[in-house]
Amino acid sequence: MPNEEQQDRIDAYLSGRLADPSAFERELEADPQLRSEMEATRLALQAVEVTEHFNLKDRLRKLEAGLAPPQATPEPAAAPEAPSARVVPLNPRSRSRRWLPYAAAALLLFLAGYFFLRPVPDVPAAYAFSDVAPMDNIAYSVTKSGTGDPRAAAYAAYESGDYAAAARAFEALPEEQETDRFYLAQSLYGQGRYAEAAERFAELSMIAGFKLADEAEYYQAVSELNAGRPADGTAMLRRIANLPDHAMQADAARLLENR
Amino acid sequence: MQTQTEDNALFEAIKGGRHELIDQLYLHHRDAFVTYAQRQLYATGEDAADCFQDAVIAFYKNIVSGRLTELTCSIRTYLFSIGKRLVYRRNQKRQRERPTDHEEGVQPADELDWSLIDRFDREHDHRRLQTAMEQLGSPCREILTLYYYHHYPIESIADAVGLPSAGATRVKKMRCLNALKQLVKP
Repeated sequence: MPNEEQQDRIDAYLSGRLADPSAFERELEADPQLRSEMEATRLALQAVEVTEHFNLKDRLRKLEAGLAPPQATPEPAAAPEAPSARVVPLNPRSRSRRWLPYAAAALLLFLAGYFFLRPVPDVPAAYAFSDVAPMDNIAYSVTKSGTGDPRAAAYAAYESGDYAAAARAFEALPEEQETDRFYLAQSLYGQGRYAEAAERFAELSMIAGFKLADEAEYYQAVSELNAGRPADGTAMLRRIANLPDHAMQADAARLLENR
Repeated sequence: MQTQTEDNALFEAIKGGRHELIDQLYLHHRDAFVTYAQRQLYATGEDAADCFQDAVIAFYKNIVSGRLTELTCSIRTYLFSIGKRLVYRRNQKRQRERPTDHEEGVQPADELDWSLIDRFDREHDHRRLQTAMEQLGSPCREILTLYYYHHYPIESIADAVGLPSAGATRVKKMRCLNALKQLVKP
């Protein structure tokens, strides 16, 4: 049987805390009894490890079993915040119609420009995700930017393209609403802080009843692509492109086509 | 979502030995992860919950073993990062998807010790090891678990199992370990 000091050294070696593991390994080679104790300790600690892992796992399984089963129908939309004359109601469908003439004109201009400026055919195509601009402010009418209203100041900075200032202003809001969090994520995206933006968009996309959840999911996908995680981003875009009712279905499909 | 301050407080409490806080970790982030894994990783609800349980345990183990000494991002980011990899592995085992390059780029879970998780994939001799621990009995089982798994200081273990001193606990721990070595001998 090893003495306490020798056992402490074996423990430290196995847990990677020994200061000079090479010296200990030389000792192991030279001393079969030490080697045998080390192997016995390794197995014993594995027994502790495995047993407690399954104890903790049982604990979490019981917690899981005690959770209410998921509801078959989606949760109703959250109650609206206190109404305010300054907040424009969010309705992606009617918004799309209002901007339809402008979008059509922009598309024509884009197609004309593309026709003349398109890349030569033998240049490998790439995703156009890096060109996806932050989304326009459709949530807040900036009419009081000079009155000291911090929310108005945040959206004014956002509209002016000063995303760093906008992010700071959104983060400093005393009562941050979901829409503010969405534009905070957009501000991070606009600064090229894609990994942080992806994390925030992911949270927003999972909020039941949030009216910009689809947009959040789309921007999460684009953020993942820009953050250097092509498999995640592409899988998400494909999923969105396959959902006819998704508000960003056409955008996702277009982005995938531009490969 | 928890704030960074709340995350740091929880992290410090876990580091301080409050292993029961894994319940809080699990309940706080479970729904978001399961939704995420079902929607974006094509996992079943059952697989997603199971992988998330392992993710919480792996995160806890990395904290108490001293491998993760400070948070460099939110706890949710760590848990999602570990859980995501576990779901990918599970999906591959079930052949729901071909292997992908999903681990490209720097991930928070990169700084964690994956041998802790890999170990639980090897199921062949788990039963024998668990039987040895059952045969070891009390209080040896508690002493060794608190010392080697939860990394409690010896003085706290003395209090927990009702031994008179740290010295007596150290001697007992050595005897318990020797007994366990005999039981797990192949």
